Amino acid sequence: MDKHIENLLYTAVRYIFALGVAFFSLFPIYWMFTMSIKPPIEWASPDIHWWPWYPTASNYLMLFFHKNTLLEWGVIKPWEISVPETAVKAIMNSLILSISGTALSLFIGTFAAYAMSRYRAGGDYMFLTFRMLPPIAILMPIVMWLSTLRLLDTHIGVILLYGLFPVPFVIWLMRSFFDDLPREIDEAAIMDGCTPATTFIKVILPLVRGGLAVTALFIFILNWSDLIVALLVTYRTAITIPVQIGLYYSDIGHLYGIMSALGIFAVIPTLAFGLAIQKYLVRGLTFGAIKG
Amino acid sequence: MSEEKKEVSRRGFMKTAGAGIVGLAVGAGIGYGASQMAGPAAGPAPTVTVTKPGEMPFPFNLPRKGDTPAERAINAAKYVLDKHPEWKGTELVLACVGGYQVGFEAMKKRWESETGTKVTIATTPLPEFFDKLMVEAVTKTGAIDLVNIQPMHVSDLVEAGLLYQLDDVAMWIDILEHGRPYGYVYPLEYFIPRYRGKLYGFVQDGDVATLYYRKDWMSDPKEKEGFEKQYGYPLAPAKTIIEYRDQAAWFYRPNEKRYGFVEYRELTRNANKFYCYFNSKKWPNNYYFDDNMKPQLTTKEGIEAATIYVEMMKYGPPDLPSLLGIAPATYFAEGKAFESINFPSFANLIQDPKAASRNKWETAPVPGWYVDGPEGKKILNRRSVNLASWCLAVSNHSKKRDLACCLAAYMADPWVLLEGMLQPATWHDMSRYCHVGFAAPAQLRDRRGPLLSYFEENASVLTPMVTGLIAATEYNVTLSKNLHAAMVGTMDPVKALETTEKQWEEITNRVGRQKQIEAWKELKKWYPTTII
Repeated sequence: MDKHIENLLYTAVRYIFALGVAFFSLFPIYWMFTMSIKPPIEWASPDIHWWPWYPTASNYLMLFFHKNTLLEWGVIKPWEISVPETAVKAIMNSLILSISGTALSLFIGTFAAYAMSRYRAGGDYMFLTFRMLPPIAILMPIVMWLSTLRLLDTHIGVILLYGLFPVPFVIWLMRSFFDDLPREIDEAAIMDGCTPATTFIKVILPLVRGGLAVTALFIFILNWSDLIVALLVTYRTAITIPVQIGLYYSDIGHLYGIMSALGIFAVIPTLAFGLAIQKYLVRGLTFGAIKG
Repeated sequence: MSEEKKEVSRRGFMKTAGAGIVGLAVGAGIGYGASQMAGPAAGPAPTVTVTKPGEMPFPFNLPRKGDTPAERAINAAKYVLDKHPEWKGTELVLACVGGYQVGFEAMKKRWESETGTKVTIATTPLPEFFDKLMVEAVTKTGAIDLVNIQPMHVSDLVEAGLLYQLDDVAMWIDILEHGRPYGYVYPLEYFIPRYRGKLYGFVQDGDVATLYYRKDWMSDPKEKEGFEKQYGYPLAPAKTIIEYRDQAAWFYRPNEKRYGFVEYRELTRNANKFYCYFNSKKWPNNYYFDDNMKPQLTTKEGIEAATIYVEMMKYGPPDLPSLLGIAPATYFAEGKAFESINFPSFANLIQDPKAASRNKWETAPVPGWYVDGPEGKKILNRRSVNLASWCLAVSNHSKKRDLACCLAAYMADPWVLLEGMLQPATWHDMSRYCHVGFAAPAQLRDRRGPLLSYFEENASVLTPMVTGLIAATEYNVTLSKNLHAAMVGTMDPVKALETTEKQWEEITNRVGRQKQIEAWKELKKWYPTTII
């Protein structure tokens, strides 16, 4: 076969494969977005509506404005499907809980990982503890534990869980970043008069900031997308976006459009965070990769 | 690439093993402590309490002061709060599914202002609601004080030890107010909150299935003439399921965006609707099981009911298989559907001041079947179905259970319930005689229109869903899913019923046939024998 045709075929196959992968990855997002701007009549239409026939912003408006306001504005009609409460509280809770939980786990996990890397603290064994089990298996005792401490349905309770559950992951990831740094750097810093603490904070941490950013993103995504923990330990005060999405599966109907609108909204912080630390991502994902 | 071989020293191993053992011991200690603090073991609360001379146990120690259940409940709550000063200003958590909070938020106001306590309405997604309650039954945290549940949840939650038996509270605070004018519309209080004859909740929502139709379309002379010419009998409110189908077929005009009928036929809940086609197929009733709990779905009657139930799909809107709850109201309120068998809440939406259907609809007794009646005479048998309904129960593990009982009693007051019913988009529906018929309050009449006139008549032939049995939810959902497969064409109706029968048998064998037989006998006692 002609080399040129062979190259063309090879390129075509590569593109088809890449497009196939892209289609499978992006189609759910596309479908979720179109669903979020469809009116109720098109949510479960038997004909496929690739693009809404009657696009509407009402699903998004229902996330932020009370039903009575939307009725006054004429955005929805009284007999149409609507929701009694906005999603503002859930969005704020998700932001507060995920960011605080991520910060807490990074704080604990990074120190622990450094100690394990440099001082063999805690022995040579790595335990992923909670993450070795399906979360539901350990949630019963956790619910009892939080209840005993009167922390059920409180922000502090959820932050503790979101902060402590991922610690083994943080240790696992961060330890590999620390292991990749030559010990001579630590020794040089100490020769220059640094204490172990200042060595860690002023010398080592800036060198692994890429890894720290990647780990933060990873833990943030874990916390941000958690359903099962939030579902069982919150009732009202501390409910998060995934629980709020579930509330739209209700006896009044499956509110697919509003679910999708909140789903689209939920993608934004992760996307923004990912873009903000993009310059660290490639470096972070390779530098400090887990050694075989 | 260097590979460092790591050896475990004895000291390192001892450190790790020691840390593990200490961790396990601490974990076990916390777990044990939590279980001790979390409250008593599961199981329905005893109704007999040993007392010291001169001291009466709860609820018989409560004052019976006040003319209405709400007044008596609030006075009782004040007494409880005096006895437990540590509960002053406390918070009671009422768990319900998302969407139900509208009514409760309005109903709780008087309680909060008179008792000084706070009521938090905690919502949970519908699919996870039952699971979440089961978690509470196992963990006994006491985080939930009251739960608003469906009849099909009651049996399993009682068996799991979550629900407190309320017969004594109901009797002492006298919330039932038997008979007219304030009592429960018979037989709601027997179907909704009971399990094996015992009371575990106070009715919040009387979901009596009713026939709705467009009276203006029906009285149109052109429609009357055309219909009679085609079907050979006059156009009038459907008395039978066959007439219901014929009228749906007649008014099915998709080119004009008009559909013959609309019902909720969603994947997990459509069995509720199927029972409306099934339960009147025999006199006095077409039962789900025989006396040995053998399913009765693949009988001639069951197959006929399922066949027409699936055939009706042709005359509804295209998204019929996904419609749930009040979603069908959109079609009716916008003047796009002729008829529906539906909840009382349906009226609240289609009678909205801005709805195209306002004052243009009427209700009637649900359609039934002509069947062999007593002494072999043909009779018209109509059976309504208790479509969903909800009741307020008290958690056995509530740390403020006495106060929670008082709140449940307060929420069962006819006029407090009315507050809930008057909210827009509420799920609360009529349950007391004073809510319906001639006595119905004017505000309610405005929102529910003619429904109130036929509510009692439909209630008098009310049959239950599969309820009052262990795993009642599972029986209903199994049937729903198989019927849904028949509706969307992936299974034929007979196969759907056969598959369901097999699965029902598996459920019965798994949970214990004898226990189920006893519960089924208890439920069967309340089936109607009335003809309307």
